[in-house]
Amino acid sequence: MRVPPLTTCEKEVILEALKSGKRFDFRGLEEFRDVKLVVGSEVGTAICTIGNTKVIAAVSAQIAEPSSMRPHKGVINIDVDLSPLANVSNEHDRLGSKGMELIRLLELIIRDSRCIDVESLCIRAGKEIWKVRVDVRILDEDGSLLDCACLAAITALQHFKRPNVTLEPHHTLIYSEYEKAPVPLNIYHMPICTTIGLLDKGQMVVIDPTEKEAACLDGSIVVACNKRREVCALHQSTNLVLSTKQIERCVKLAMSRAEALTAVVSDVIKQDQRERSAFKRPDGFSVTTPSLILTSGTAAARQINAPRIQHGREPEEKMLYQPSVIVNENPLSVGSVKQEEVDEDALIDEQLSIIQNSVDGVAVSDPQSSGVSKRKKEKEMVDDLLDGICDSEEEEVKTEILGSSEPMEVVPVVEQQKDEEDVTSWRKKKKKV
Amino acid sequence: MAVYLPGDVINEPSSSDSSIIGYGINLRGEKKVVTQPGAFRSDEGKIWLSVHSKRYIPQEGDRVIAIVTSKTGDFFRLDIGTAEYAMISFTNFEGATKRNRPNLKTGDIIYATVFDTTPRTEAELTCVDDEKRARGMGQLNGGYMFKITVGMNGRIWVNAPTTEEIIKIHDVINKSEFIIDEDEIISLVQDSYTRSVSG
Repeated sequence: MRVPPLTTCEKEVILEALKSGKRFDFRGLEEFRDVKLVVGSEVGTAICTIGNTKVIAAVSAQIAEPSSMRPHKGVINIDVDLSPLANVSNEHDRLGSKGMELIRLLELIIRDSRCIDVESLCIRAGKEIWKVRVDVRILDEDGSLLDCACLAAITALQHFKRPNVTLEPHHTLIYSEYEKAPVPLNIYHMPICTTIGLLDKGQMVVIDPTEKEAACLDGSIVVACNKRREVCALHQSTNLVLSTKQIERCVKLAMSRAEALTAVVSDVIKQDQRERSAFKRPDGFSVTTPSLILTSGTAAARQINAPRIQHGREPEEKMLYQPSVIVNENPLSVGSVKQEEVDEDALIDEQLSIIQNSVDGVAVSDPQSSGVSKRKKEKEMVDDLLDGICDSEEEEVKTEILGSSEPMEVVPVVEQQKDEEDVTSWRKKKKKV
Repeated sequence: MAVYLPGDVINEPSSSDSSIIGYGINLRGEKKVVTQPGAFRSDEGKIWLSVHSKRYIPQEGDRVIAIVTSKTGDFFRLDIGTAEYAMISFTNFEGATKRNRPNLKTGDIIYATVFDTTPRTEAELTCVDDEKRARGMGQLNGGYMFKITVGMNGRIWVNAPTTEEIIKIHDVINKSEFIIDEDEIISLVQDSYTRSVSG
């Protein structure tokens, strides 16, 4: 079978997100996924999960005849199977290029880095040795497959104990675990793999890429190192030319990862040993059963009204006269009033208060009586003036001018009065309303 | 809730008056025969099976999201999640003629209807209805496509103004597969909205 091909839109979105430092699983570019490590109730078994990637490793040993070239050395065999269970494109019992790459690298990391003492696996030189077999089964694939497989294999090897043997002159005695305590393997160091994705011709690194991310990247580099800061293996998947600086950076990242994971592995092993020595029945893999199983309990069609979301972006015109509003507030906060409504309300309130103030100012004195009294006062004043000015013609002329100006003065007063009347009547109407 | 296996005959009282038969059920004469394992569902004269499957079995009239994998002669070869590839003719696009062919490349995605599922042949899709109108079907530009095991061919296409929003929507939909409670979904959406994407 085949996997659906990567679509153009997926690739574009993933690359765009990565270039702006975002990832679909909310990680940073230099952030690893969580590692879950469980050892089984049987010795020499371990399951490792990194994100959705899941690998089980099992170690077994049998007595075999050594090769004539290395008569006093044990043998470590590694077997990998990529089952269709992990990825529909895998074929059963056929590794393909991906599987071959994986098995070669695991051999390189576990056997060729000499992390296991093979000389202690020799029982009788040239006759009998222990043949240790590491079975690695990929259960689920989602990127960083080698990291996960390597971690599972190393944990299983740490967890493994071979039966105790004694040598007699003509035969070898193999004891069951009830007669003599089984012996763990001699492991010098733990090589830990780290996959680092490369983007932009190696300018950017994407740590621990998922399957989809890996498909969009330019390539990846795998660094295997131990907590003593020794590089055990270095592998690059594509022919991308990297500078020494870039590789050094990758190695540095891998070293810190190796230190952290070595601590995890030894913690898990120690915890298991403590439980076993206290005769507690080990939980084994029962704890790995996923809690998220099919939940189609009452999955009928249903409409969900999500709370209204207000966008932060607003047209520039509005921003001009309302610069500081809901910037830092949670846009989902319930009961938030629309900004436009607030503006309108405020404006109307302001206008109302202005109108009311002006209306009140006028209404302090009775408009009609004041108008009449004002006219009376003015008439009196004019009369006084007229009385004071008597004979001379020049002055008469003046009085004439004054007299002519008199009605001019009265007219605006009347108009004003009308205005006041208008205002009061409007106000009365409003009160009725 | 009743669970049916392929080959079972449905004898539910609610299924007798239903006129619309949905996913996972086939009509053979008068009998309603189950073709996919799943839980029985019925709603207002419709019956179907709720199937948890990663492999899609085409049914006529289904709207699906298809990925273009290659071009052969007058046809595009498409991946719709079935065992075999599906086909779509050049002329089954709105406004397409023999000269004016749709410009699709490998890796593009289209939204189409299944209209022919004759056994032993590839399923055939179309991007136009009987009146030669697209009605929303055709090529999907931009956005992001992902897979989830629900309904039809289990593919969802999402588009949003920013990548960050696409990531958030993707996250919410993926998580909601395992949520039944309505309030939980709302709180999930709120959490996701306030959460920062970049680590």
